[in-house]
Amino acid sequence: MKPAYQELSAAASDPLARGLLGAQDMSSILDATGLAGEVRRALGSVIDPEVGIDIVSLGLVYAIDVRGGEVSVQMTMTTPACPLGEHLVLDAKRCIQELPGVQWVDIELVWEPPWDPTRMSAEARARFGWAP
Amino acid sequence: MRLGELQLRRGLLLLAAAAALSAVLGGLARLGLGTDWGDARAVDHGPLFVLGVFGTVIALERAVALGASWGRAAPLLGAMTALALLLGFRELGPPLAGASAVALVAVNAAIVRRQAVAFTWLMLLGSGLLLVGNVAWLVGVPVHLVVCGWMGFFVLTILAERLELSRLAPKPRWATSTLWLTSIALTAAVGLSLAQAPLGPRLLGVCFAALALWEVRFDIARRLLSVDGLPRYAAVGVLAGAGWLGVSGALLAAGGLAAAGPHYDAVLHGVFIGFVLSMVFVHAPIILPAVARLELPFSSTMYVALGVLHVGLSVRLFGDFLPHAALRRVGGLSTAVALLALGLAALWSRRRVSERRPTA
Repeated sequence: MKPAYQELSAAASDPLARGLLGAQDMSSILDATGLAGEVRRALGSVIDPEVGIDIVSLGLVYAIDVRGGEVSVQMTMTTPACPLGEHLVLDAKRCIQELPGVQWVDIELVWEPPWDPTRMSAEARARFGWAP
Repeated sequence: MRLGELQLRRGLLLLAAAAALSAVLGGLARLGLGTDWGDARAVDHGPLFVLGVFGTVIALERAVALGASWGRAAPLLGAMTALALLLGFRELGPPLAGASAVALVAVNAAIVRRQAVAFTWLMLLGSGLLLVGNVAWLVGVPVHLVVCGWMGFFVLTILAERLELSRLAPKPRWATSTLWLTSIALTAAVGLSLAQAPLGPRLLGVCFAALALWEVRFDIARRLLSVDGLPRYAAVGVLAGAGWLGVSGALLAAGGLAAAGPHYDAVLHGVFIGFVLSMVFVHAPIILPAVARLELPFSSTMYVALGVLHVGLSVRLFGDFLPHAALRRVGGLSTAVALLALGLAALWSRRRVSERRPTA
């Protein structure tokens, strides 16, 4: 018998809550081209030390906005009660600042919509045992 | 983060380290390995470690998580508790510890208002047990019963953090419910213990054992054993800690809690060294950079410290039960050696960071 696994959070299944910032398919937001793509790849080197997975694969990066050399990122943590928030934001900022063409970086920690496991990449979800 | 804030956090950690050193010397004195300073601090060994060291560090971590300046009151009062005990003002320890616990409850309550979910409520409940324990200490409840509140605080706080991380992996609905029911039973057990009901410590032991099983079954540590580096190191420490929580739980459930003696020694050190200190060891490379911008990259030499910690605790418990005073002493001394080894591994790790940095 298939186990009754825990339902995903209501926010995950509510299309309004997911919105543009929470879509499981991040391709419309995290485009692979240009500086935005470089920023995304740089953020892929920022590792959550507790689990050894990067913040993009964990689904913590909600949005990247690039205007000329100015980069704005919205990201979250798995919980607003996490003491690693400051540290990961600093690491993320440092990675982006090292990119050529970047003149200014702003990283905002947001808490809406709340993070949930559906935001992880397929590889990350597989590592933790989620069914495909 | 403003420079003043950083210096404050580092100062608090330095004071906690001084308290740890003093507590270790006090502990060694209780094992017959005395120094002048240690002999004078022997009676404060428990409160120094529990409140001055672990309590301050946990309060600092929570205050950083909250991000509000008033939250600093919790670790500041914890550090003042440590300072009072270090300087010999023992009568100030309980009221300062009580005030620190009130502040920590307030921090955790604010975090619940920010995100009211199972693990934040659990953390609030844990800090409530610290407050109850510290008030009991203040009003003169025997320390061997007060420690039930202190143990309850650490167990629930750590389980709450592990519950939060466990969201990364699927688990059945009943897993969180089970954790909650056990935590409520644990809370009742602490109350019974402080009221000197014989059932209290035994029920506490059953709860510890149940929570240890929960950890082994649902903690993501099992999945992280296959990940090289820091995640594996942390996973080893977490699972080993769960093992010791189970051992202490079994001892409590079977034998209750004596006021002193080998059984008491085994129960307490199973929790505070085997469970709590193991968590501190494996989370130092995560928390120190996060809280105090002290880079501490993982190094495989840290396994040496972790190994000495757990093997030494095993030797201590053998010494408790045979009984064999020399084994107990060696086991106790090994905790000090493990702390020293961790310090050396940290220095080695930071030296490698400095060598990798480009020079001007």
